[in-house]
Amino acid sequence: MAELSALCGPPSSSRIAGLRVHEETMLEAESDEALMLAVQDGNVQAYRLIVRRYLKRIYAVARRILPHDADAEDVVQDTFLRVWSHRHNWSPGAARFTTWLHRIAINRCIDYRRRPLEDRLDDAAEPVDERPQTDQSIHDRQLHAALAKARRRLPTSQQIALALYYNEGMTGVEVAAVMGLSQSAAEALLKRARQQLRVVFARSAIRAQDAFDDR
Amino acid sequence: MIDDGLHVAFEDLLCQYGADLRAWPKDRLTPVLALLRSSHAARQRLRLMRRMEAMLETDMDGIEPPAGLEERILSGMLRLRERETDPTGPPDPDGALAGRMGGHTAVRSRI
Repeated sequence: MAELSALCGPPSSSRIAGLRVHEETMLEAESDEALMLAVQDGNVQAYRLIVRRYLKRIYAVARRILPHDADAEDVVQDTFLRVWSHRHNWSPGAARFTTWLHRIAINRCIDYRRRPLEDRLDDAAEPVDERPQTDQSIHDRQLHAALAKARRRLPTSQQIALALYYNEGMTGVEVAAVMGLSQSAAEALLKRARQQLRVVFARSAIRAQDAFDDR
Repeated sequence: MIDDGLHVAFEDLLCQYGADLRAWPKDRLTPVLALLRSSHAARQRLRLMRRMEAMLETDMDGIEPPAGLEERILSGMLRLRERETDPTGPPDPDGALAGRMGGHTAVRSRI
């Protein structure tokens, strides 16, 4: 052993970096659950991979529920820090890792939405799209804008259910698990959201079509 | 002339199950397929729901987290880890331990 370490010499910083890259490459193939077990043992590389794997998705969920980029950024940062600080609360048999992670994120979003208005940023104007537009794209954009506006006005629970179902691709059962509801309660939220959006969407579609026909 | 009540019932089912008919319960599907074959208005309602759901799916598509967020999260985690190994260390100026939003007790208990 002593001979071997004499041959290899003391570990250089480049060798340590190389070992880290090797460890990260090995970990990349692991399931979320295996990574979380490593995170529970304090493995920083596993945590980094969890963050990298889910950052975009969790940010997109938060951004669909919260009105501003800065709000979503706060919530996402807080969510992942809680993954670390509450890592021992997760157990592989109790819930899938993604269910647990989404549950933390949406609870943080709900909490954020409950804050007094003065603690939140003022409503920022929607960015203007300056791309050249054809009649059809104007029509579609009007519909999209009307739908997005109506979506933002829905109760928070309905917005969350929509984001998980339509944008995260979850089933009704999975939405229910993340939201801590029964399947029928989650599906009722989706139904009420669709009903409200449909009224706005149908009205906007007729209005946009009329404007289109008048040209 | 198709009973208007049928359209209202169809509309209700569309909101319940969405526009993907493959996801509907079998017992609901047979009468709905018959209605769709015979009613232009029903087909139009289905098309409108499909269009709305497609727009919901692509709403804010391509949204990206801000640059540097991953690094900020990792720095926060390393500070938390330091505090775990040395709880007598300096106070956490950025509030990473309590969470950036204040760390309400009610929320902690929900996790």
